[in-house]
Amino acid sequence: MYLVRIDYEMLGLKRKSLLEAISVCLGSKEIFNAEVLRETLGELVKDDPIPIPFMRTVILATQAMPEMKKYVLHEIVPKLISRQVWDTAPKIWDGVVMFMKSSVSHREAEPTLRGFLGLPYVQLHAILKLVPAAATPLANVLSALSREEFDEVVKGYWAGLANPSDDNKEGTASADKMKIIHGLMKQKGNQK
Amino acid sequence: MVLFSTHAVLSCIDREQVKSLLMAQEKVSENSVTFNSFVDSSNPFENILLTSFRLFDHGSLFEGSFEGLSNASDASAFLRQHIHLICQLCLSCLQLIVFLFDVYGVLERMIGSTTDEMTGGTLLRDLIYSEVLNIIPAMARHFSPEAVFACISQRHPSTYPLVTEVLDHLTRDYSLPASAELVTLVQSFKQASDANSYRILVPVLSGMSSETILQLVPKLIDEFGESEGGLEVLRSAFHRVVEARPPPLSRSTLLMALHRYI
Repeated sequence: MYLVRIDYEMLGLKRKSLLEAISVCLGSKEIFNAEVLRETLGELVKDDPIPIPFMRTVILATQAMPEMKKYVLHEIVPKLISRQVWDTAPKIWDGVVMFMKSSVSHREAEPTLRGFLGLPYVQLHAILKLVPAAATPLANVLSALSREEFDEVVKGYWAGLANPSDDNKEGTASADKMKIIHGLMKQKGNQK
Repeated sequence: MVLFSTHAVLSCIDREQVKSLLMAQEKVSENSVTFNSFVDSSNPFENILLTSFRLFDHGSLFEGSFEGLSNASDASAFLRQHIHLICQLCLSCLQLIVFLFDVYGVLERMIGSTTDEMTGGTLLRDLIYSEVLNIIPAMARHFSPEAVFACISQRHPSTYPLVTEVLDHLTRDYSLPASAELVTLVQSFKQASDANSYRILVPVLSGMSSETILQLVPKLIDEFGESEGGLEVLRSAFHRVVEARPPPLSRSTLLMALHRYI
């Protein structure tokens, strides 16, 4: 992609107008179809910083084209987790939480749920508080993991949040976090 | 003999005001199409033109005595018929459209200064507007968009909304990129007209470079990003950019550009 960044705000562009312009594109589904949106989101998620309207576009796109959800749950949210956007782009993370409120029970949500199980305690706790409906799908995923997968997922290796070669052998699996994990497993009645 | 203008279609037009407007417009006086300049005596359309120009001629427009017209409805039909005929003749002689644009421009200026909602002037102006737009598809088959635009773009600024509409119609096929010549003509027109609006550039976006488009996009969003009508302009602009073959910007590139701000 040869495109350079445009400093819209320096040009005096109002954010509301910009959002309207994006909505105009998303409203033309025959032109800006799922394939185009996948390509666009796949590039934008690599941006640093990630554009602020990014998650708004994700939510609008998945509302207009439900077939987009699989791509977002498989590719976009796991990437955002691996980039630890709760630290680097809190507004993007707020958008992820909002998106998950309507997608946590989606049949293609497993990659995202695995990513959530790898979150540090604070973020996992917040997710369960903000999206209570996530508890059951998370417990279901936990129950389906093998012992090896369990470690890989819960320690954050799978999500790219920790590395087995690091000094910290527990990864993101702090004591507080493990209480939550065990609580979820109890809920499922499947103690590992 | 029926009084045509004063009590019918053109009843609300102030004769002296229009005359002074016409006389004050040097461009109109010098360049407006006249009967003699376009009609060969052997031309079979002479009578049609003669009648039409009697209707519109600066001297007789507001005298308006025409036989056979008994009411406003007749007069309206008469006007429509003759404007339609002049439009048809534009297919043979493109320069005739200049005449319609001049009349349109005078009416637009005049109506802009009145508070009446519907006058003979507005009726005549609207008839010219709709008939000119109706003839554009046929005109596009006879003349290049560049030739048509060059012809209509030299008129009074009050005609610019119609010029923009005509340009929209001439470039209606989004898959065909605007030619470099048309882009240059329109850019020069915008520069010369000193217009603040970027609206006139929308029909030729498909012929511009990606860099130029990316510079224009924020300006278009700033101008059209808030009102409902403005969003239609934006929609048209985006479609023109991505539907041209080849497109100056891909769909994903445009969408990414809209997201990327610092």
